[in-house]
Amino acid sequence: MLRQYNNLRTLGDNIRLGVLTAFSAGMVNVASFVILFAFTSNVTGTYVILASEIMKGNLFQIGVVLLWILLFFFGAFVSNLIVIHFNRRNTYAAHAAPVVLETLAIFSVGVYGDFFYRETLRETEILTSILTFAMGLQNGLTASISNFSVKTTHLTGTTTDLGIIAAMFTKSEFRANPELRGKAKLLSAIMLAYFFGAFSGGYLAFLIGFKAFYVVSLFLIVVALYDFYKLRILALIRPGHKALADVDGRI
Amino acid sequence: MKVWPFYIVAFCFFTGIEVFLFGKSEDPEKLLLGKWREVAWQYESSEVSDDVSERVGKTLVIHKAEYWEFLPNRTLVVSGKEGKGTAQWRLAGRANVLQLQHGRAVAEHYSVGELTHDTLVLNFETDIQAKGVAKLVFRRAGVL
Repeated sequence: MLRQYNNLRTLGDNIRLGVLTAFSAGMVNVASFVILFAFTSNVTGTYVILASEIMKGNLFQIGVVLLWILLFFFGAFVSNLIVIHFNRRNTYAAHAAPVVLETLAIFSVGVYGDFFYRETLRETEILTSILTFAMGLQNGLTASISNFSVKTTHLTGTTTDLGIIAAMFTKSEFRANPELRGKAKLLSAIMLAYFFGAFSGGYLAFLIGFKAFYVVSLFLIVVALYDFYKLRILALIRPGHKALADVDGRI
Repeated sequence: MKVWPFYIVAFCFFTGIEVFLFGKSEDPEKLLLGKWREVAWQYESSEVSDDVSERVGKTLVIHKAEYWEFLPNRTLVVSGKEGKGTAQWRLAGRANVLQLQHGRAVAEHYSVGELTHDTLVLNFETDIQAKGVAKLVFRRAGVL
């Protein structure tokens, strides 16, 4: 799921990555809205809010909203900085590191919210900022390692692409195209995973509050460890496999 | 050509903007503290369906108070001719949501339309159809 890069990835790799990360992004987005009253996984609306706050001249709100946008950007920047600079040394580690960072960020929000949160505005802004950074990390990673075919923290592009593909499928030649069929499967899987993640996130946030972020962290740990275990198992079954993985950083 | 200076300049630029914005702005929580006098209850939408009214009534406590006092310990004291009541207050989002918690059961949510030294405007916030149904306007007590 995390060990292959760009065009080496299979549809299965992308679907697994897309489903798990979209599910967790949906959970984070709705849980953050329910608890902190701010969306964290998409920034399109945030740009609109920024423009509206600039028009009103609300300096504090402009600062907060701009900070969220910058942190989303910075998250994508950091994850790709890691991928680009460490991919050749160890592909798995380079791809897992942003997920580990994201998990730590989300888990820390859960722990702080669970034990220390006093509902002050400053705390709310900081926790929202950490979650926005985490979502930037995730979106940057999934987009770059899937050759920009998997974006999981928002659904504008996914829904548009699905609409386009649905229109294309009205012609039999497109329906027969395996690449388009694969793309439709991937996008539908992401859309459904995000929706169910959002539903679960909202439900859990109402039910257990900040502890919902522990559940998200668990999902992300699965994402980070899945390939690690798969590599170990494959190395045990086929000893030559590990050597190959060490040579070119992939299986 | 080295690109790192560009990244460092961009980082410093945006950090500078943030420092400026937060340095020049006032903490909304501090602005909110104090005693506010209710001066108007406005219904923005003239056509509110029975269905929407009914739903608003379920989640909105109709305040007939004259003064709202936000205390630093997050207690809101609502006082008027009919006596006093208290709730717990909290600003959330980007300081655009005011949550009032009445005990464990009822939580009201208001959208903060305006918050300045002497004016506070709250819009009752619920789902889309009822948004903007009720608007409460306050002036800081002691300010004409």
